[in-house]
Amino acid sequence: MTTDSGELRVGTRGATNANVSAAALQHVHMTYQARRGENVLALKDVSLDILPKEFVTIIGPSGCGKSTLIKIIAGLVRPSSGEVLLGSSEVTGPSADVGLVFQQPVLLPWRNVSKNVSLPLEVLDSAKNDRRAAVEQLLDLVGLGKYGKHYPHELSGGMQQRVSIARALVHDPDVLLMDEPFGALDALTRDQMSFELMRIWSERSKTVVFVTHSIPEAILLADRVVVMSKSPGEIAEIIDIELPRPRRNEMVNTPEFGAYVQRARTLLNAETTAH
Amino acid sequence: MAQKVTTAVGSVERKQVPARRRFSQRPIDFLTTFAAIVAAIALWHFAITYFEVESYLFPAPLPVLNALIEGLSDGSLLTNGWVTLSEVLIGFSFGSLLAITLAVLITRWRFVERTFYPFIVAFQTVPKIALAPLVITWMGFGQTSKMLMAGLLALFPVLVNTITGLKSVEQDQLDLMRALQATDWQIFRYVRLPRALPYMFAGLEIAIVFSVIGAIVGEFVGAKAGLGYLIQSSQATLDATTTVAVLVVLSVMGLVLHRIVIFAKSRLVFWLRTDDGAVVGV
Repeated sequence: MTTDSGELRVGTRGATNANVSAAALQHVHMTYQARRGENVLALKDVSLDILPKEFVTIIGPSGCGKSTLIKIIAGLVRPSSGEVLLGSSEVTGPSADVGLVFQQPVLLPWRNVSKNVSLPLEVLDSAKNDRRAAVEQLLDLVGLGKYGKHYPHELSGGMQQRVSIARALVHDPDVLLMDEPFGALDALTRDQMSFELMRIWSERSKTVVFVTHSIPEAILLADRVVVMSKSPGEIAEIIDIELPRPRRNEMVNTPEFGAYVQRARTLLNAETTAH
Repeated sequence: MAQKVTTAVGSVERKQVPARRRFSQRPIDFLTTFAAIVAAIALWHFAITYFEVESYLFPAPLPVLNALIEGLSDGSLLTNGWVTLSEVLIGFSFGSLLAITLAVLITRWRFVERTFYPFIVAFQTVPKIALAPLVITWMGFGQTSKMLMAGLLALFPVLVNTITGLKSVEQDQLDLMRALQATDWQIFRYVRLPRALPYMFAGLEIAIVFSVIGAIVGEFVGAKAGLGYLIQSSQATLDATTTVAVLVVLSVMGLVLHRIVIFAKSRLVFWLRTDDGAVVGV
C-alpha cells in the first residue's frame, strides 16, 4: 500500500459518509447498577459513525467506558438506550460480522495454534476443507506459518497475540474490534505489532476499532482518534489524523505527529483534572 | 512432550522452556531417595533388635520380607490383593463417573443445583467411613458393599472439584464464544469441559487414595476376603508380621494407582505442566 491509497482513504471519507457506515452508535447511553444499588452512568450520549475500512482508535482514561463501548458494538452488552448499527442492520446480539481481540490473547491452551485459529470456523460450522485453507492463509498473514502445531504456552506473548488476531479474522468479519490488544506486551514488541497490524489491515481491508491507553499508538494507527472523557464516559473530541500512509516509525519524530500528541494530551489532561 | 527448537519469526523470541535440566537431575534424586529408604529400613531393623520389641507389637524388616515372599508364593496376598483391587477399581470408576455426571448436571441447570446442592453440602461433612456398618447391613459381606464404600469416598472430591472447574471459565473466554453465537453445548465442549479437566484430576488424585480407604474400611467391618480382611484376621492371632506385610502390599497398590492417575493427568492436561511435573490450577 502506498501513500496514494492512504490519501484515497482520507479522501473518500467525506464522500461516502452520507449513507453506509461500517458501524454506528447513535446517542448510546449505558448505566449499570453498582454494588450498593446506585446507578452509575458509564457512557453518556455517545454518537459515532465508523466508515468502511476506516481505522478508528479510542483513547481515554481508565474507567471511561472504552471496553464497554467495544462490547456494545460486538453485541455482547446491550446499551441502556440508543441505537447501534453494524452495516445497515441494528445490533441486537452478537453477530459473526465482528472479530474480537482482547487485551489477553484468550487462547484455549489445550488447542494448538491452528486449532485455536480455526475455532470460529468450527463454532460457525463451516466446511472442513475451507477451514484448513483459511487457517493456513491467516497464519501466514500474521507470520506464524510454521507454528500451526505449537501450543500457546510454547509461544511468546507477542506471538500469542498474533494468533488471536488471526483467529479474529479467520471468519472474515467486516469489523475488527480490538480492546487494548497490545496493552500486555513490552514496548518493543508493541511497536512491532502496531506496524504488523497496519500491514494486515491494509491487506485485508477491514474496519478496525482499536481501544488503547497509549497516545502515540492511537495516533500512529488511526485515521481518526476518538478522545473520551471520564465519568460519565463521553466523546470529548474526534481528531482527524492526516498523516500519510503507510505510516513509518520515523513519523513519530515529525512536528505534525508531535502536534497531534500535544493536542490529545491536552484534551486528556483537561478531562482528568476537571474532576 | 517433545520441545522442538525452532527459529523465531522476525525478532519475536520464543518462550524459554527449561525441559532438559529436569531429566539430568533425575539420577541424583533417585539415588538420594533410594539411600533414604535403605537407611530407614536399617534404622527400623536396629531399633527393633536394640529395644527388643516383641514381634506381636511390631516385627523386624526381615520377618516381614519372609511373610511377603510366603504370602506371594502361596497366593494368599495375591488373591486377597486382587479382591481389594477390583473393589477399588470398580468403586472408583463408578463413583468418579457419577460425580462428573452430577457436576455437569449441577452446573448446567440451576434447578438441579438448587435441588441437590444442599444435600451435597450437608453430606460432605458426614465422615463417609462411618457409613460402612450401614452399607454392610444393606449389601452384605460380599464385594458389592466394598465397591459402594470405595465409590462413596471417591464421589465427593471429584464432584466438588469438577463443579469448581466447570464454573471457572473466564469472562473473556465466554465473551469470545458468545461473540461467535456459540450454543451452550459448544461452550461446554470447547471451553468448559477442557478447562475443568485440571480440577477434575485434582479430585481424581484424592479419590483414588480415598477409594482404597473405603474398600479397606468396608472389609474391616465385615468381609470374607480382601487385604482389609487379612489385616483383621492376622490381628486376631496377634500376627503383626502378616499385618505389616499386608500394609506393604497396600501401600504399593495405593502408590501405583496414584501414579496411574498422575500419568493420565500429565497426558490429558499437558498444557499446564510445570518443571517438576506438578499441575498448576489456573
